[in-house]
Amino acid sequence: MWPQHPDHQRAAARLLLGAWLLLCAGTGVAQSGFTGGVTPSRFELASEPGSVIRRSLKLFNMSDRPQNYRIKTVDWQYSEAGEISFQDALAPGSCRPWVRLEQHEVSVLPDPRRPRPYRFEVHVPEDAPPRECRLALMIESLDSAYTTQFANGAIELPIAGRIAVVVYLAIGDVAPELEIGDLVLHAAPRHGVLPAVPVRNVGGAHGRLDADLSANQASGESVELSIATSPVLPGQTRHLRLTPPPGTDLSYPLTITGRIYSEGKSIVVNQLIEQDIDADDPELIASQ
Amino acid sequence: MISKDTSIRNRRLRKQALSITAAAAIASTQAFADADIAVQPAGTGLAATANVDLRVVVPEILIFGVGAVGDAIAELQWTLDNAAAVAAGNNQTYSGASAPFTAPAPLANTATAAVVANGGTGATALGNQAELPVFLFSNAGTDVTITTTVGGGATGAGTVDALDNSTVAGATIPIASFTGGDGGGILQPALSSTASAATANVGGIVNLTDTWTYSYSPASIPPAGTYQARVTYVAATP
Repeated sequence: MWPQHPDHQRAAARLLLGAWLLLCAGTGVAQSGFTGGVTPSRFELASEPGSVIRRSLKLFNMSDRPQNYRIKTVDWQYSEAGEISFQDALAPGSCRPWVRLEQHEVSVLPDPRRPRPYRFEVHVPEDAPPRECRLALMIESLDSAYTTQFANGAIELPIAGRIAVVVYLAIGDVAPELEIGDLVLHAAPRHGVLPAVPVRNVGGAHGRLDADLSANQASGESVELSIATSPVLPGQTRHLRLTPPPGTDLSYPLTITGRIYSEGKSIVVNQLIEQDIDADDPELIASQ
Repeated sequence: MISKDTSIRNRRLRKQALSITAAAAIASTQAFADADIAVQPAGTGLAATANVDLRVVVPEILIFGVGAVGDAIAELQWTLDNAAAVAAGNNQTYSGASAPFTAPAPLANTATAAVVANGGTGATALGNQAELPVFLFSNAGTDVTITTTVGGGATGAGTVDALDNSTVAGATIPIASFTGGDGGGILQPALSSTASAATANVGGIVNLTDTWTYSYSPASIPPAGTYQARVTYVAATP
């Protein structure tokens, strides 16, 4: 029986996490020079003006030797096509000056059972207006900063890895307001043509969709569809693709039925998708 | 000998321990989250139901690995072999009937890849292609987006999307001379700054290994020297 007490639940969750990470290391899937891990991988925080938000994360070193990690804040943007970009320079309206980091450099042992707890705070000013601000904690190995030792006359291309923990900070009474359109066909690079849900966010905070949908295919077979749960930022219109199980090719026409859930509401879906369209069709919306 | 202060402190601790134990005992007698008493007419089978709700809290984890295990940083390098480009006419004997040297043949810019192992193994090179192992895990329920940054110089602070010559200012090799690839698992974003690719989750999970490749196909011979750039990949679950 799973323990009822919150402390016991947390301890059991830690055990699960530790066991999984050990399994990872033991089976050799972590075959990398930079192999860093973090939990949680993002924060979605709510705050009020004048408040202080304190949170911690855990850093994992999955390599075979101690690593020094550097942590810094960065701003990030997310396009309607689903592309993310990071920048060191302060973006207009950035709330990074409100962030206090425990340390800028920490040492992490190569033991998945001994993650390095790491704390940070966000000091929201008294006069901060209601809005959602976004930042990220960029985690990199200091080994990445070491000067590479190549032979003279060579063409050199070192490859480094980093992890960004994205932070959404809602200040005051802000919330997403998602407008959901009829399903469309949608071309996604490397994902082909798939049905997608057009979503427009006219609210003040990011939102996500959840769904319980199935597709009745021309072949008579019915398959479950998973909706992309990537965020829709305020002011954005995105197309969230509906993906069948791996290895399943959809046969058109499709009838998609079920429900889409958004911020405590649900929308009934019952729509016929007439035909497949080639992925190169310029009329298709290309995004991730 | 136990001092008076120590004795008092121990008694206090024992008292606190007793209080905690008593509280736990009281709690245990009140810990029936769900109870049911069945009352049925005589001759009817009795049935009582009690529910136990299960809840598992699984934290979100993101793990990203690039390069060979134990490597400080994955170092790829190429050398240009243009020995075949030495003009065949260089050793001709001058007979007076023609020019002593014929025009050199077009240079054969054969790039050979290598991987500098500074502690780890696993990265390989074949011909002009270097290969790196990559690993990605996330249970965040969303796709994992990987973003590329390419900067010239030893630390990547130089020319964007180019390899800088370490001695000749302004001499660069465009990153477009390189071609990246993946095995279809972890999507490798294009080799240019701000390029981004999302690896789809399956049932909320991304748990993949892959091999990313890098090939250099020079269109022309650059000025001699050492050229450097750094490619940085950032994994995130927005």
